[in-house]
Amino acid sequence: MSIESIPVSRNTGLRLSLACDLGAVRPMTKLIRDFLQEQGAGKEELQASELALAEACNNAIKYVVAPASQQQIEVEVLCGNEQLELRVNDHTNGFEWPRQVELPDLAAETGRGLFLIQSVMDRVQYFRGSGENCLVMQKKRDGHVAPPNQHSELERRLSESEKIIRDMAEELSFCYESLSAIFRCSAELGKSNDLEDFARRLLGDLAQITSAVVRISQSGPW
Amino acid sequence: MKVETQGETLNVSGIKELGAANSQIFRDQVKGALADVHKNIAIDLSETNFVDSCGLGALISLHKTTCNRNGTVRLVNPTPPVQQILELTRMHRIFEIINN
Repeated sequence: MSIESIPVSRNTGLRLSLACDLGAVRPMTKLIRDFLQEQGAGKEELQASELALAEACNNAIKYVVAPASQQQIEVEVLCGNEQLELRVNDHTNGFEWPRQVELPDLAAETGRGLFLIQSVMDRVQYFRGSGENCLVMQKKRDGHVAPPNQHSELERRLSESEKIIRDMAEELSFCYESLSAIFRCSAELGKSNDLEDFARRLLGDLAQITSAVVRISQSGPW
Repeated sequence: MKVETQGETLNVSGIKELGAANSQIFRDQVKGALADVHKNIAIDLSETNFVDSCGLGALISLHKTTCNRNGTVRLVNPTPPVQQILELTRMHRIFEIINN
């Protein structure tokens, strides 16, 4: 029994490879369950992922023929905020995925694997290749709840973003004031060709502003 | 896994999971434990947290065995994930499911 685990990227994906051995399937699905649980996946998502992966890998092992049975099965899990994606790459000869997957006769002892995969996942795609096939299974994440460590990280990032927006608004307000002052000056200058008259009016305005500031500062703290 | 006799019924319990890796052994062990006196099999699924299509196949195989003895298979207290799979695959139509 052999399972090799390779993190795809921090906190979002996991890639595993396992030998063609039915005994390796459940340990692999348990590893993936633990990983998805860390990502905040709910009970239904966990159960569905575990079952779909087990069925997909069981088929990949049961129907492989030598020498392809020496090759590893690759399993990849991508955990997004909106959906989970599970991929299984196998080395069987592949098959035609039925247009409609139906349950076999009640007394049949086999033939329910594809039906279970289709039932517990929201979207299933099967790509048949030469010597390699890929099964892609997707499940929407309804009511995704971030785990506690993700909550604190989100709060920290939210607070940082709020501070950045506040600083930008302040900066914008200064820019607006400067710009409006420039426009005012340009307008005043346009009214008169007399530079001395313009300077006098500008100084008058400045004096008014200064006296207003003095009055405000004398009236006490805001 | 634990098996014990209660009249005409073989009680099976202590099954943690029923998947591709152990379903054949499970089927063989239960059939091996059946004596002439047993008509029915009661399988306690209260500790079973995982069943896949191979596990269902093993249960159906046991169902056929009991049918040949004019008996039944009873699935006792399946856990919620197992109950869901039984319903999805309409197994509740052939098994007697008992929730105590």
